[in-house]
Amino acid sequence: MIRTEEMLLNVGPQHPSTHGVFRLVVKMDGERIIEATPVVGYLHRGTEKIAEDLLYTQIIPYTDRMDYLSAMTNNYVYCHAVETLMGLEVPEKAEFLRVISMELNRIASHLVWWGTNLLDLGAFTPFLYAFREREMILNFLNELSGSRLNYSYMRIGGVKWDAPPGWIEKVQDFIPYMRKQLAGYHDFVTGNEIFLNRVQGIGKYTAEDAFNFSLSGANLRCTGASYDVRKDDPYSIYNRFEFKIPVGENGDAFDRYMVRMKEIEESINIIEQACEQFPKEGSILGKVPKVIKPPAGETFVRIESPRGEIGCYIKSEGKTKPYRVKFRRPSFHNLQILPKLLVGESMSNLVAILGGIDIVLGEVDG
Amino acid sequence: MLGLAKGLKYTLKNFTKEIVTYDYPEKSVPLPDRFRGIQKFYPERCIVCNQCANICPTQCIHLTGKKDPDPSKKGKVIESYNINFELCILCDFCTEVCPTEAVVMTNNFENSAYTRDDLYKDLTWLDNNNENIREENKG
Amino acid sequence: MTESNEKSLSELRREAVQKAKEEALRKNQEQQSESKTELSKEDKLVEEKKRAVAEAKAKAVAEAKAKAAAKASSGDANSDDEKAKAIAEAKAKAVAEAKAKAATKASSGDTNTDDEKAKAIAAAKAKAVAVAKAKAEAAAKAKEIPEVKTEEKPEVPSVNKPLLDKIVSILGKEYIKESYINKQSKEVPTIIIKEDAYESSAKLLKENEELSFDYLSNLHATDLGNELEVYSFLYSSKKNHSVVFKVILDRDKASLPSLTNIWEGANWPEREIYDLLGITFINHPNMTRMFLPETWVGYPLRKDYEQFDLEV
Repeated sequence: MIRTEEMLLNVGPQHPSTHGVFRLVVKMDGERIIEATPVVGYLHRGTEKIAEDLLYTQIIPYTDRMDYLSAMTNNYVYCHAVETLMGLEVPEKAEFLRVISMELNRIASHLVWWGTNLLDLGAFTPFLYAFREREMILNFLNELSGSRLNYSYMRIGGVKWDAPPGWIEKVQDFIPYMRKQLAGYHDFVTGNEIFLNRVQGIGKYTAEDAFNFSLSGANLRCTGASYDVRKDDPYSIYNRFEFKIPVGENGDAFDRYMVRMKEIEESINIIEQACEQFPKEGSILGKVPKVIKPPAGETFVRIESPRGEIGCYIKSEGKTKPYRVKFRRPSFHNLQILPKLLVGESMSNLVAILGGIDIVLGEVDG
Repeated sequence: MLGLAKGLKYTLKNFTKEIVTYDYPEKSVPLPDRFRGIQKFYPERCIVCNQCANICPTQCIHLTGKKDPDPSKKGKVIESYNINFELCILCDFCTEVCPTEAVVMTNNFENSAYTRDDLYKDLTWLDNNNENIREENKG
Repeated sequence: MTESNEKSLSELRREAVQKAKEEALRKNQEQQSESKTELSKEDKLVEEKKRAVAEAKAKAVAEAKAKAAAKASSGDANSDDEKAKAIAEAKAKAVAEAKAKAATKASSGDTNTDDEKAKAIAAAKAKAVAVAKAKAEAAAKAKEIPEVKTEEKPEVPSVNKPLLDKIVSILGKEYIKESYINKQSKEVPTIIIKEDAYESSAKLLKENEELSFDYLSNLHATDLGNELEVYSFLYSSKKNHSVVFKVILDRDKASLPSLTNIWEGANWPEREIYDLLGITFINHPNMTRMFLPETWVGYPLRKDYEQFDLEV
């Protein structure tokens, strides 16, 4: 008989497949994982503490840096929270610009996930194609906001810039191109037997577990639960557009993959409708007082980011600086289920499961 | 095996496509007008209102003013203006609040240096940062 | 000679100094008196404004008291009428306040003429009195719905009010410190639970079929100064409704039962709270710091936090 010794293996924090500075201490018996302990905090910057000492406007750039792959949604959740607290109305045109930029950002974020997750699984080329399309989206957002990643585009009560001339038309031209590319992706990867063997039936959980563990986004919807804040608690102007909430069936890594791919499709649909209905006239900033001073009180709003339900809590005491700011960061909550999923799996599946959760460490650590 | 063959076909098709990458260090990357790069400062426009220093989320702007040497004029003129690019996050707030557009963004983003002292840009440096200045500065 | 010379010199100097001092003092006093007169003018304005506000406030309080008394006397009136009355009273009060405010504003707008101000204040007072009278009359008519003409629309009760009532009745009124609809947060029902009923109520919120809050969306804590507040946002995927569930803790004895047995998702947020605010969760599977190293001193999100090692 061969007897195997238990082994403690340290994965990360500097490991490419952890997508940032994330550390996993894995106890192994041969190839099987007995126990996995995630260690986070390597990127903790204390955003919430810093925010207590900043003016309401000054917090916006800090939200960019939490989930740096989808800074637009972070901008939005924060601005939306302050607007809800103050009871501000946002002009229609600004809401359209916000929705278009958020959905573009959602596609860009999913493309990064698609590329890097497949890179983890050993497929190198998809990464290049994903970044080719992402580059086009980043160029759009760069033209709109003046930055490629940390946009700081939204302001309390509106947005900073109007769409540059011809921008909407360019985005409209991009829509059929992206649809074609997405079909190509499915040809390229989704039917691939090696890929299917790596992800099908891996990291399974039920809808009940998903709700119990506070999962959100594709991690929740892969189980068949149809919970999307855009539909269930509509914000902005999402109730004006027709789109579906893609859900999976089995709750495994493959369903998470499919849900995200279909989400790209739905985002394209939303952008298409938003570009058609885009108002030509109108202001981009509402009636906002010069000094932003929300009345005393507290608020909590949640929206759907590419990674799941992102929320923002603000407690105000009627001063120019918030008393307490708290972000509900989806990656942080989504990562909780990881130790449970890893038990009994092999080392190579660890990478597939972790990649499937789609974490951004800037968001996990806050 | 069908899936693998399909994938291979997709890859082969892409061989004939145009190259989309930039030959970056040799050729500059095209950037839109709104791009946020290192600031350009116009000392003659500045009225020393301190708004940029106050709105800066990272407190990287330091400025001092002195009385206008022309006794017939009221107000102040700028004496020193420093931006610390170890801290600056190019968030665009300083240019947004500036009432006279004395500080504006440029398209210059290359900021690497051999010492940290080089990242401390003073008035003369920012004044001489003349290239690729952003045309439209208010949204 | 030299001595006397020196003496005289020093004397002269002393005299000169004294004179200068005296003059400076006199000037200073003059200036002060001038500025005082200016100040006193300003002060008067400010004080008058203050007084007006204070008077308005005092009146409001008096009104409230009178109302309470009226209520107590007509305690046997049936509840529907009481509600209607309360609404009417609230409206009337709002109107009175708004008018008083407008009056004071108008008066403060024309700062220069004291007479006008006084008049305006008087008018405001008269109006307030009139409204108060009207109110008193209305209150006297215990069983009639009083007709108070108001420009404001009657306040629409929140859509979430039935939900709040349901939650309160299920959890039991005796365990709830406070319950209200938070208008600033998309009208979410908010309840503040008593500390000892925290775990049992949480369990009830999840397991009761009418509520079935199966999703813990957010869990965090805030330092309120004297106390700590733990805030959780619950959502029900089956019923599509949400509630805010709060508990207020003593700062020095900050500990709570863990909710990990009810929602597994409470695990990391509770560790985060422990890390940053120092609330210990009893029966938590792994009560260690989440982000900061174990050697860290203090809890950063507390308002009185001071960095232990300044060079970090």
